[in-house]
Amino acid sequence: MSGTTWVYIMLGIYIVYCFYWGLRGYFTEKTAAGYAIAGRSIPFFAFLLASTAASFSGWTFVSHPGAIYLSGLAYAFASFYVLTIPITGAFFGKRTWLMGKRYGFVTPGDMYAYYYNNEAVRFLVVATAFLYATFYSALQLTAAGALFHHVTGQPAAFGAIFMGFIVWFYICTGGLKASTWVGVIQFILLVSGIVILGAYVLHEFGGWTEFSAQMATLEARYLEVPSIINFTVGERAWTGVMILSYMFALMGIQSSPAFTMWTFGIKDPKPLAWQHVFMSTFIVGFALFFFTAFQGMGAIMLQKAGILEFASDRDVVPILMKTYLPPFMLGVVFIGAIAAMHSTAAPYIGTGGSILLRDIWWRYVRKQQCSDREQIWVNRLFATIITIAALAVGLTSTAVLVMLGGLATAFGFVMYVLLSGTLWGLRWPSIGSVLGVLSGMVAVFITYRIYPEPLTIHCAAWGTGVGLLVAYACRFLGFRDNEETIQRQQEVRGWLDRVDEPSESGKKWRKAMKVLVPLWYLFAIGPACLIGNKAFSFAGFPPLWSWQLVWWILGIIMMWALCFKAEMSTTNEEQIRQANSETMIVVKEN
Amino acid sequence: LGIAINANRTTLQPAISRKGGQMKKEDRYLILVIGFIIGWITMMGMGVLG
Repeated sequence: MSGTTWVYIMLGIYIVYCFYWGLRGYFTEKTAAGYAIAGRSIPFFAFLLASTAASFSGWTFVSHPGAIYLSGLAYAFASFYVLTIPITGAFFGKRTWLMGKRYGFVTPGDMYAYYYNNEAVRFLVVATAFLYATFYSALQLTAAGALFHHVTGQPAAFGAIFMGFIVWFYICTGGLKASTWVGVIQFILLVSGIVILGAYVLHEFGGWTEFSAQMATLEARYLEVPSIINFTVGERAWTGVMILSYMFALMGIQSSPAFTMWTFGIKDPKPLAWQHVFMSTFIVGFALFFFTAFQGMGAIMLQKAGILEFASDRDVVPILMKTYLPPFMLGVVFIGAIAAMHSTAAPYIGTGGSILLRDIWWRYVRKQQCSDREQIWVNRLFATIITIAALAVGLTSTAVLVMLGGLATAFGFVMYVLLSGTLWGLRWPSIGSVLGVLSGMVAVFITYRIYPEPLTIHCAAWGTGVGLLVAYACRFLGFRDNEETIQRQQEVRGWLDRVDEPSESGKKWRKAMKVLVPLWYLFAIGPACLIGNKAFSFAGFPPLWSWQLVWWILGIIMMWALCFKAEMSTTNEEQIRQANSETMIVVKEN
Repeated sequence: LGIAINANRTTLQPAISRKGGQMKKEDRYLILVIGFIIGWITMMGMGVLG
């Protein structure tokens, strides 16, 4: 059978699995919360795999090897997002869940609006969620369409609409639970696909020894980080500070409204630590630090040897797939790529629809008087609108799409302003939270579009930096909250700090981590990573790749210490009991 | 012996054992994972992957 036949066979099996979970949810989810946040009952195993798949989008699968092909090992530092994406979950995940349980929040807007006693912040979060969902999903669906075109020869637009239809169907029918259970198989396909393609590329060279020998002949620009910082505007160079600030942008994935809402949906926080340390930092890290790098670095050498010709970085993965994979494997890897794209698009479309429903329709249009049935159907309608909007944007304006896709994660990182205030008590007045987020979003836009990346610092860092500065400025300029807001925040702080108080051992670990985490950032992905250009080398890896591997291993240990030992992501039965019994519901469900 | 009462927990839990007792699940997994990675890199260096 040909590769294309296997692609269609695999696609057929995948569609059956997706539609099964969609239809199962359609017949069982009868409440608004059941549909929107899976009735707060997403089990350990499902969240573990699905949230990992959602964190690493189709971009990881298709564009990451392409970017390594363009910039070499300096760009391969981006693989550290296997750690920096889940570290956001370590900072905020458990406390988000505790807040959802106690106060009954359904959307992130509920949480921020309650804590700051301010509805303006809700609208800012809705706007962020809508933009994020539309543009990030557009990116995924058009990439899926392009891959479908490369592999089957069908028009890319048809592919994007077809892929959009699959994801739309299982989200609209089954809600968040269906999206999560489909995410389980998507995670397995995503990791398998990356490993298989990387292994075949390595095989093409005759193995690691030959691959390594050829790599040693590459120019320095592919094997070194160029500098710490460039005093320029508008230059995209992978300097030390660009690598660091780019990692900040990707930290925005798990602070996005979609992930906050997903965290409300889990049964208990037990999967969080395991997701952060082992599923993400170790398993996805293993795929990226070895097999994605084989693809990207292999593509450079294959082009230099005149064996393959890539018109652009976007062609790298599709051409490697078509050239080196046998028919059956082509089907498996193709589905891996599609699964990667769907696994990201689905939760964003699903939660985007739910946020529009709850924060706009239910709260303002229907004045909090609306049956479960109506909420579910309007939720489906909003999810449909976001899917259509994503396809419309994706199929009509590619240039704008790439820009706004990049903006999405930066906007997600700006949510750090609200999360750190709400969950960890960083203090600024209510008006500071609104102006902070607003100015952060404006700063992101300016440093992305008008004066791109000044000092080779990514717009996400500029945005959140400005956001925090403005929020604190409001405090020091003398803005004060009213008595009701102050009392409300004191009650939240008191409860969170009491229930989530670490043990004596945990406190010691937290103290140590306040020094060790910044040190890790400085050396692994910060300006000090330049030392790695010539520091040491082992097992045939060039110095910079060796540096990355060592800091990845240290990163796994750091995440283990942070999540388990410092108790940032662990919980115990008493804590869960308190969260379940000490409820103070402030949000109606219908 | 071998049982520690954590002030924040209402149930008795086996102590993590710094002195030869039972290790926690996450500690065992960490050792396994680090061992796997170092073993994998060593095998690559020894030419097991060609």
